Amino acid sequence: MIANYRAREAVRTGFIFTVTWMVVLVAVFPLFWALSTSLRDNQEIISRTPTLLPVDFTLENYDTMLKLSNFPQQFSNSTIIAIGSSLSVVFFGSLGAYSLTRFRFRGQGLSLRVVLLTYLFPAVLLVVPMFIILRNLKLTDSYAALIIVHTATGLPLGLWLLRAYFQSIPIELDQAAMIDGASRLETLFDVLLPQAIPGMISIFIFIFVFSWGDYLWPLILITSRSQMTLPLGLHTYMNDMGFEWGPLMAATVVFAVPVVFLFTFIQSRLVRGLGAGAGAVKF
Amino acid sequence: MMAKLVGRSANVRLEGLQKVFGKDTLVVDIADMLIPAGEFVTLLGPSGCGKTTTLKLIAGLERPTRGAIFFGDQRVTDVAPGSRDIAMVFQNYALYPHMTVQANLEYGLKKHHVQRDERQRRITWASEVLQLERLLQRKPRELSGGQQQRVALGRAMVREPKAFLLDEPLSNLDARLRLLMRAELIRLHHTIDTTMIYVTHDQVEAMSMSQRIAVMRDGRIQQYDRPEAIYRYPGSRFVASFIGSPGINLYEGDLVSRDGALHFVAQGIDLPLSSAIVERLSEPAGTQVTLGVRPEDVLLHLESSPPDAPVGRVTVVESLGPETIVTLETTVGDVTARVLGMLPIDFDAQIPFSFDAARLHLFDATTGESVLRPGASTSGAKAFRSPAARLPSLVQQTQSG
Amino acid sequence: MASGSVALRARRRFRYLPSDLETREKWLGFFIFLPVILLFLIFFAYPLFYGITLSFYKLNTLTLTGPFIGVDNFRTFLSSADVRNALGNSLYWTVASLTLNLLVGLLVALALNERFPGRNLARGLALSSYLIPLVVSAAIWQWMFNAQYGIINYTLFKLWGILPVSWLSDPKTAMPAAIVLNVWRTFPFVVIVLLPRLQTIPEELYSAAKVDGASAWDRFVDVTLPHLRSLFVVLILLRFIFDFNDFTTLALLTGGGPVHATETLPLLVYRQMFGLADTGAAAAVAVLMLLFLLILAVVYLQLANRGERVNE
Repeated sequence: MIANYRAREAVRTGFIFTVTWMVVLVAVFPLFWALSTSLRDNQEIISRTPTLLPVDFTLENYDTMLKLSNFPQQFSNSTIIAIGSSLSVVFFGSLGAYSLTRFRFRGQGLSLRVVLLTYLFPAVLLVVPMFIILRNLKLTDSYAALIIVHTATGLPLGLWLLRAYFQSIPIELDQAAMIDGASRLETLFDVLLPQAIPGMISIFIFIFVFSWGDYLWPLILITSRSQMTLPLGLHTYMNDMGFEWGPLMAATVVFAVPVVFLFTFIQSRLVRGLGAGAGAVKF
Repeated sequence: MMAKLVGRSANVRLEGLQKVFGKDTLVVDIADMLIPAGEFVTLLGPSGCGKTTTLKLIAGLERPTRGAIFFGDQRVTDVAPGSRDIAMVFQNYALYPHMTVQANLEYGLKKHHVQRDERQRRITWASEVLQLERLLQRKPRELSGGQQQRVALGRAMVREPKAFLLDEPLSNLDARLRLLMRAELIRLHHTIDTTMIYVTHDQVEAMSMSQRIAVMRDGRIQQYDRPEAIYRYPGSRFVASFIGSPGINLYEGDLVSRDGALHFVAQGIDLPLSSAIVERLSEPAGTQVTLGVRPEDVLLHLESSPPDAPVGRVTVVESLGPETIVTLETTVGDVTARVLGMLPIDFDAQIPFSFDAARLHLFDATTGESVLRPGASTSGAKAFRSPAARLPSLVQQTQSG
Repeated sequence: MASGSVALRARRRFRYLPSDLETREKWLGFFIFLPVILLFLIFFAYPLFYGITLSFYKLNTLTLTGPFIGVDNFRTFLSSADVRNALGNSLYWTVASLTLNLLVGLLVALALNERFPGRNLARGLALSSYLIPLVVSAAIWQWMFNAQYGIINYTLFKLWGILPVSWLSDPKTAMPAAIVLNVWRTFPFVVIVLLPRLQTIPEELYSAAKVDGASAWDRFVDVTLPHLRSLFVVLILLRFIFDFNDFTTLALLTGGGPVHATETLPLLVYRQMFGLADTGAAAAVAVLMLLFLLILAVVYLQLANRGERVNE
């Protein structure tokens, strides 16, 4: 009986193992394929019998891509905007979360729910008026516009997550700091924030990833080539005449690199962090 | 170098202090309380009696709804906690997790703008007293419960405050450590001589450490006196049953005048009251009263018994080593007795018993208040402090904690 | 022994105005929260109301002038083929994505809940598709779906002899192809929500069920699912909202084509605004979307809450 049981367990584990790694394969394949495509020359790309790995490795696609479009400029634009937005969300989110959890004033619960409600709304509904507003303010086509918009979009999530983090920090620490003579802001910076660092890092990464990949707002707000961000630039290139898959795949690989890099960073945190927030969802 | 902080201590006075939570829940209601400078005073009571809230009011972490708090001559009711010159030790230590022990000790000093040399001197002093030298660079999560407790104490000590506030600091420690730390705290108080206000629900802690105990219930102070006085002359049935373990035996009955003498009469009991008791009585005959007898004041006549002594049947025997707790089933109810030594007592044995005539407690059956005026003050009140001070530091003898 | 700093401290006392301690802190708390409120008002509340008012005009996108036409925009929609098409596509897109997401997400979460060699690594990799920028994913999948050179057609032909399909050019296959991309990209969201909860289910419950004679399916239905019920309620709502509002995925993959076969409501808004240059109409469609979602959300939550109460 025991041998039978162990055998069944082994089969079960084996089955799950196989299924999981198949899923992994499916999840990872596209990026792998892009990498593989980017490393082959055009002959291989349009061949009727493609192979998994390129027969002849070549870096010419990367060369083309760098020279062709405004790629480096767009890369730096995207980076600046992504970092700016992430830092803003972390900053304002921390202040807001501190205010929501350690103070008592009227309309707190309402404020939080309303702010979260913004995720219900179609971005397209806001696109139309935001376009007009920012155009009147002459803010279109600038870093500021995108940073502001991305911060506004990401702030509710930041508030939500950081609030959950702050709530898990015992109030006695605040009290000890107050007795030690710290002002309320000093308490925030000396005691609370250092403990919320994992949460702040998670938020930073989420917002960075969102801002990095956002297509809608640059589409609406950016018109000049020099201000374009990567998503917009990539898609524009795809609609250009005579674009080639090789350089495009090269561009996507380079585009995805920072994300992959950041991603290995938050590997385990991803499951823990968002899970904690999701578990606390109440309407 | 043990620095004495005599003279820095303040006395703490509470005047008409009230705290209301929500719409109308009166959590603290203290008309007048004075904590003399330098004394170790405990706020003792069951959960929810308002003792922790009172402590928080004294600390400034809560604002009173009504009333005032004074440190010495100064009215501190509206002063922020950080400016009251107090230090607090929390039940779960509340050490800053991301800072080293050293940084934890330093934080309050930095916030109060103490110069670096002075900071260092105080930290060195406190580390010596509490044996934290080896732990200074560690983070709180690397320390055991007892070590964290000592760091919390150290953080309070380096502040050299006017008063220490301690909120059940020992409840998170295991039993053995708790005993050690109790002695440590007593010793500390003797050394530092600063006002200590201690909150606990553990009456053993309160009795062993304090110079004064305030027994609280439902926000009010039931009795505020030296431990011996509270034990010997409890002012109410509540206080009598709260203090003392095993709990006091209580029996409902009446005061009856008979043959010119006063008796306590209850089912199966007719107890003539001694003159020592009668002269302290403040109620006339005919009142309904509750009789209280502490287990150690119950006499078990295992060898020879006086005539007419009631007899009880043994139902529980707890052999604790230095003493034995025996519970008898009697006509008046269950009687718990405490006898010195390990005595061979059988279950179901029939044992005659009596109550120590001089050590009875009587309470009004309706109000619960004691109907006996307090007797002569007990001697040796001062001596209560010195024995502990002569104890060598028990912390040294242990490897951990 | 007391140093001069002690005496100095005696003088620097903070005095608050009587009865102001809590109020002062209340102000500080509110003050700190102010930037959030400001951001919200300026970049959300105001545009929202502005957007709603826009829907009552017929504006030309380029000149931003036009007459007030009241609810004409909305009246046109009731008969507009465009709107009906977009609505149908939106529902198709949303419901299909949602259903597949839940299925796949649940299965993967169950698998990742087990212990096997390399599990941590597998976890990270399996969920990576969510983080890759959408533009990248759309571009790659466009390449993979390519009718002539795409790897998908090649593999299908090689393995099962299926003739090449024009995935993105054939109105019948465009939406399913897009849904495949969407599910591939967003199933990790479901996993990330379900997995932590799965991990908190105590082993003893399963052991007890086994002892009671429950089969694997029974155990799934009676032990696992009840723990996930509340999460599913949230997931369905969130994913519906996100997918319903999603513009970028389809815009990048198909642009709404071929022949509006994949034009969902968000894409219609965009086309109205920039293609047909009718800002008012665009705003009107957006408002319609909003109303639809609000009603749906309210109804859904009512049903969900009632269900919960019955279960108690």
